[in-house]
Amino acid sequence: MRTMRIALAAAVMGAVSLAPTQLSPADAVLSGRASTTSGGSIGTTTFVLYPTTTSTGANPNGTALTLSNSNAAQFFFVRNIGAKTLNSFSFSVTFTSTPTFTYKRCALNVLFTNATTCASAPTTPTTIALGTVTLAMAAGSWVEISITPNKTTTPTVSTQVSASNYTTSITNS
Amino acid sequence: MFRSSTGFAVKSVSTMALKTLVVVGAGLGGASLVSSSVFASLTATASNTTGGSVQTGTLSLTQANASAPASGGFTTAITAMAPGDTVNRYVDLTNGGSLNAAGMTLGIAATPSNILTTNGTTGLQVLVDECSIAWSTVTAGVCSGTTTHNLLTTSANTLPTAQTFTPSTLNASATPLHLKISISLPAGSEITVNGVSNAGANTVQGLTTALTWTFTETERTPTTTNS
Repeated sequence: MRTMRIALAAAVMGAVSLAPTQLSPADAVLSGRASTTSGGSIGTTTFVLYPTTTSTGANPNGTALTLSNSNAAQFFFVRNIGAKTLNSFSFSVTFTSTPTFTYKRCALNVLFTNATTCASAPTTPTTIALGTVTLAMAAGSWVEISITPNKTTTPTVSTQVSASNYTTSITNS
Repeated sequence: MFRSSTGFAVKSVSTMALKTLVVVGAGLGGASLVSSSVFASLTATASNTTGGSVQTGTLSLTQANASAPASGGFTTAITAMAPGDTVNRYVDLTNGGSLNAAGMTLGIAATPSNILTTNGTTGLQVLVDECSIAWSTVTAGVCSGTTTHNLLTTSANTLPTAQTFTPSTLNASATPLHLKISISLPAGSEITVNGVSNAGANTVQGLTTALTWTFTETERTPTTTNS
């Protein structure tokens, strides 16, 4: 009986020791690999636009711009601090009471000298409407906008920009 | 048997010698029987005198930036990608070995891993097309031969697991695969409101990741040949 046990154990050990050498064809197939070893970096741009009280105003980080309670012309700026050139942007204004209002803008990076005049040509401001303002804004540029309500009210200005406000591209490079 | 002078009975010397002789003789006889069975056997051999060479094949896969219509390949960085953009890069894939290959796959590894490669909806998308001839330089990105979709549009977040090419074969010494890899960022619904993305921490803006693109092939199906 003891002899049979020893023989059985030896048989098992022999099978185990031989097993690694019994590779099936599937285990032994060759494979080749080709990988990039450098480059391959992908970076994305930014599209960041906001209303502010000065041409260098800081990012309000989501907070709408609240202007003064007045019936006179008020001015604010919209800054593009993203890396993307924009073709347009959307802006909306809410009021504490409903006025009849007028919106005007000067050219890119041009200040108003008063409610009806821009500092450089074209000196006559361009009338704009709420909603989408079509204006090519390079990265780092700004535009000054005036609001003239016909009665005392507090305007609150918000801006939006998305993929619909810039030109997307298909590049072969 | 006799009694000695000390009174003990002893066997005779001649009897013991006889028994010893019998045992030794039997042993020698047995040994001679065994050994004669080894040394007396006949052996014949037959060997080939020529040929008999066994050579294994090789498998080799290389990728290189295509020269046309653009040479950026995977080694030139893609910068300032915006949602809605597509960048086409061109690489040639060659099986330089002697064995045909099968099981072609493509996988990517991203460092660091971020929304671009972890979000299947707003992250990068990859489409791989093959042109039977080199991609046109006249109209970039156009195939004047036959176009095959090797990999339909696939989210980069699934590509850490290698995806199968279709067709997945590449013959040895065949014309390189002329691949166009279209990398796109979906236009999505991200909006920047008053200077902040509505996507919050999941914004795709201002991100960078380095991708390692890995093509893999395995040898064609092993064969059993009677030849």
